[in-house]
Amino acid sequence: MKGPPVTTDSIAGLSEKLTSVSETKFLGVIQYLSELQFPPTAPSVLPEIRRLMDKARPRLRELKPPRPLTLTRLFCRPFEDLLHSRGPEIAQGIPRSEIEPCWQLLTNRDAAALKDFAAELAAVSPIAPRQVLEFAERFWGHAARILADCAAAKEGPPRLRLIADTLAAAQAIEAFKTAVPAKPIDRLADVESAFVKEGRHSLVERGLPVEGFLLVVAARLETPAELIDFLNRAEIGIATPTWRKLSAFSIAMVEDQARNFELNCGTARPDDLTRAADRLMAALATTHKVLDATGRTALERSTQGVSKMVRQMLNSKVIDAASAAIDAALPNAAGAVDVEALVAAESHARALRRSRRVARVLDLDARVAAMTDSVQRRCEAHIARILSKMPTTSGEQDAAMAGISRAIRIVELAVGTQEATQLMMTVRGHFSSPTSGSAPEPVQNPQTVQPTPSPAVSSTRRVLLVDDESSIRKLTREMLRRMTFTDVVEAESGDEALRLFRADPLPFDLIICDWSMPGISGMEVCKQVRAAKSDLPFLMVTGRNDTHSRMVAEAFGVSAYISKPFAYQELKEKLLALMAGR
Amino acid sequence: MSLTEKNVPLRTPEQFLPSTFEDRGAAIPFTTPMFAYARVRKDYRDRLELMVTRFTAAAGVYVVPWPMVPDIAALTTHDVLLYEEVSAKRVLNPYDMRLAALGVAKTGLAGPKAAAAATAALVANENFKALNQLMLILRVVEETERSSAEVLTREISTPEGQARVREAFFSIAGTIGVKRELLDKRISELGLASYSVGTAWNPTDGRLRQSLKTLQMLHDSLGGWAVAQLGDVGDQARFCAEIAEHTLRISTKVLTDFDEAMTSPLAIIKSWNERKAEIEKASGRLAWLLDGWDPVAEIWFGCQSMEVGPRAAVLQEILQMLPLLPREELDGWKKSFLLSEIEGLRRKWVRCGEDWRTGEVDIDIVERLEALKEKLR
Repeated sequence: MKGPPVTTDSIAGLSEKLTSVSETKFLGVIQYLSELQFPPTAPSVLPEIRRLMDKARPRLRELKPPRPLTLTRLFCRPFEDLLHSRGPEIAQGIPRSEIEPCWQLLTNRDAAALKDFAAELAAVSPIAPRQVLEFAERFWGHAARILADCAAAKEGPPRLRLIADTLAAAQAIEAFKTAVPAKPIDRLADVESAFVKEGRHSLVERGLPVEGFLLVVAARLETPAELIDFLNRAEIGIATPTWRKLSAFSIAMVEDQARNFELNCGTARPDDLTRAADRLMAALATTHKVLDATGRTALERSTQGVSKMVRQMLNSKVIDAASAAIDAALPNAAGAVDVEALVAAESHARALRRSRRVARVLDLDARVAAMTDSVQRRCEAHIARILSKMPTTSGEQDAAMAGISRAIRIVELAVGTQEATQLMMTVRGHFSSPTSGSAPEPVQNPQTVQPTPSPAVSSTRRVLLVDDESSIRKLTREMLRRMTFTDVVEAESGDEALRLFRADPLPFDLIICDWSMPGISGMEVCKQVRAAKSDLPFLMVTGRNDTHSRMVAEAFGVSAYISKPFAYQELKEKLLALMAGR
Repeated sequence: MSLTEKNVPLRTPEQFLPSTFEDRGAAIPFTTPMFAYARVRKDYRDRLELMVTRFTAAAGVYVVPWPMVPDIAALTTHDVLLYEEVSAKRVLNPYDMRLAALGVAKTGLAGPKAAAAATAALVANENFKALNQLMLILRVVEETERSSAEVLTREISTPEGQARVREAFFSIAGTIGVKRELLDKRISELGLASYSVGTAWNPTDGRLRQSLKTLQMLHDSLGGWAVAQLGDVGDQARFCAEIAEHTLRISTKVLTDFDEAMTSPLAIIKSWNERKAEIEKASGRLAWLLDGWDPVAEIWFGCQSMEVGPRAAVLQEILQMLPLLPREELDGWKKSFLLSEIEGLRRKWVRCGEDWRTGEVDIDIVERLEALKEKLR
C-alpha cells in the first residue's frame, strides 16, 4: 500500500519528536527514516533525512537498539572500518556520502537481482550468523562484480574502485574480523599477523585484489603503520600503489589521532590525556620508521606541531598541575574526605607515572622525575604531620589512619608499588618503635620474620587484667589460672588500671586490657603505659576485628591483639608468643 | 621413550579440574595484575597456596606456595594488607574472604570509591544480618501464635515494634521447652548461618540470592550474545554460558533445599544441635558455588554498550577467571565443548599483566581491577 508522497516538509515535523517521544516511538521513527533512506524513495528529501539522523545519533548511541539486518547495511559491512563522515577533501578512507551513489549504480545495473537478494534476506534469520554469512558472501560477490565493471567504465564516485575491491575481498575480511575481533587491535602480534598472512594469501591464490583487505586491517589497528612494518619484516611484496595508500592511510590516522588529542586536551582527565599522548607519540615514531623519504617528509609536514602540542600539554596539565591537585587531596588537618579531590589527585598521580616514557621522547624526563620526587616528599611530609599529632580518640584515629593510607596510595600511583610498600612498612616501623617520635625505621617484611621458640607460660608472672565487664574478667582470670598465672590483679576501668600501674609499675609483667571502656579507653591506657615502660607486653582485647583497628592498635604500641570472643587455646597462643624470650 | 614423543599419553585438561570446592579454592580479589582472579586453598599439608591463571601469559593454572607470593611479584599496597589478612586469619572460604577483602578495601588503598563501596557493603551486611534475625524471630512467633504475629508484623518497621517482637519471641521459651538463654543463642546462630542467603520470606533478598539472580541474567546475556557470533568468540561466550547454566542448575537446587529446610525456624531451633550442620552446609555450599561469579557479571554487564571487538576482549578476560565447577559436581553434565579446545583458545589469547613494551606492571589493569571493587556488594 502506498502512502502520500514524502516531502521535506512532511518529515521535518519529526525533528521535535526525536527528542520528546518514548523510546519505542523514537525507534519507530528511526526505522521509518532508514527505510526512506535506502533505497532512496525520494532523493530530494535525503538531506533532511541526514539532518534528522544526525540529530538522533546521540539518543541512538544511548539506546543501542539492535540494528535490523538490511541489504544496505550488509553491503557496507566489509568496508565499514574505512568509512568516515568528513568531506571528500580527506584523501583516505571512504566518505559516507559515496555509499549512496554506489547503491544507485547497483540498482541501475541490476534492480531485479537486488530485489531477489532483498527477498532472500527477509527469510534469513539475523541471529543465525552462519546463514547470514553464506548469504552475504554471495551478495558481496555480485556487488563487487557490478561495481568493478562500473569502475572500469569510469562511472561512479571516486572511491568506487576501492569499494569494489573491498567487496571482492569481503570473505577474507570477515574471516579476519571473526578471528581477530578486537578493535582497535593494540598490537600486531604473532597471532594477528598470522591471520593477516592467511587472508592475503587466500586472496592472492584466487587472483583477487588485496588492497581493500590490507586497508581494512590497517584501519582496525591502533597504529596502522604496524601493518607496513609487518609486511616489510615478513618480506611480503605488495604493489607500489597499495604501499603508497597504506602509507598515506597511516599518516592520515596519525593526523586524526593528533586532532582528537588536541580536541580532548581541554576536558580529558590528566591520566587519560597522558595515555593518549603516549599512544600518539608511539604511533608517530612507528609511522616515521616505516615510511620512505617522501612519506617521512609528508608526515613531518603534517605533524610538525604535534610534539610541541604534546609537550605543552605535559607541562601544563600533568607536571605543573600535579602538586596543587595532590595538596588539595591531602589537607593539613584530618577532616572529612573530599572524594572528588582525591579522585582528581589520583588521576594526576597516575598521569605522572604514565608520562615517563613519553617524557623521555620529549626531553621532559628530568621535570617529570623532579615532580614525582616532589609528590613523594609531599606525601611523606603529610604522613609525618599526622604521626606527630596522633589523636587519642577512636574516631580521630581512624581519620588519621585513613589520611596515611591516602598518602601511601598517592605514592603508589605516582612513584610505584615498591616505594609505597616501603613507605607503609616505614610507617609501621614508626609505630613499633619504642620512641615513636623518633625517625621511622623500616620493619622486616612479615614474610621474612622467623618464628621464635615458644617458652612455657610461667606462673611467676604478675598480670594486670583490665575490663569493665566483671563476667569477662572472671572468665579471663579462669583461663589465666589454667595457664598457671595465679598472680592476677583486676581493674574495672582505665582509671583504676593507671592508678594501679603508677603506684608500682615494675611488678607487672603483662597487661591484658579491653579497648572500649567508659572513661579512659584501652588505647589511652596503652599510651600512658608506653610512656613509662615501653617494653611491657600489652595485650589488647576487643570486639573490633578489622585491619583498620589493628593498624590503630599498632600505632599505639599495642604488643598483641585478640578479638572477642576468644577461646582458651587462642589466648594461650597469644600469651606464649607475647612472653617469648622474657 | 622420550616425553616429547607424540604417543605419550598426556593428561587431558579435564583431569586438571578441581575435585572439590576446597580444591578450587576461594577467589581472592588481588589487584596485582599477575594475581588477578587468583584463588587460595590449602595444600595436602594444610598450608596455604595460591592458584593463578594467565601466569606470565601462559596457559593453565599455576600453583604458588603462599609464602612465595610476595617474592613473585611486587604486590600493590592493597594486596600487601590482604595477603597479611589472609595469612593471619587463614581465610579459606568465600564468606571470610569477602569480609577480609571489604575490610582491606575500606582502608582506601584501592582508591576512594572502592573504600566507599566497601564501607557501604559492610554496613549493608550488618543491616541485613539484623533484618534477617528479626524476620526469623517473627516467623517463630508466627508459628507459635499466629494472631499476635499479625499485629507485630504491622509494627515491625518501628524500633518499639521490633522490641515487642523480641519480647514475644522470648515469651515462647516456656511454651516450647527451651530456656530463654538457649533460645537466644540458637536464634543468633541460625541468623548467622542463614543471613548470607536470607530467608525466602524476607522482604529483601540476601546477598547470595541476589548473586543467583545476577548469574541468571549473566547466563541469558552471554547465551543470547553467543548466538549471533561466529568463530572463537561465539564458542567462548557459549562455553561461559554453559558453565553458568550448570552452576545455576546446581545452585537453584541447593537454594530450594535451603528454603525447604528453613520453612520452619521453630522446628530448627527446637532441634538446633541436629539441624545446625544442615543449614550451615546449604548456605556454605551456595557461597562456594557462586564464588567468583559476581566480578564476572560486573565485567560482562560493564561492556554491554561496546561493539563486538571490545566485548570479545572482555570475554578473553572472563575466560581466565571463570569459576569452573569441581569434577565431583560435573556428573551428568552433557558438555558440548571439549575443555582442551577451550584451553587452546585461552592459550591463544591470554593477556599478560605487564606492559608489553616495558615489562612494567600494567597500571591500566590495576585500575580496572580496582574499578571492580567499586561495584561489588
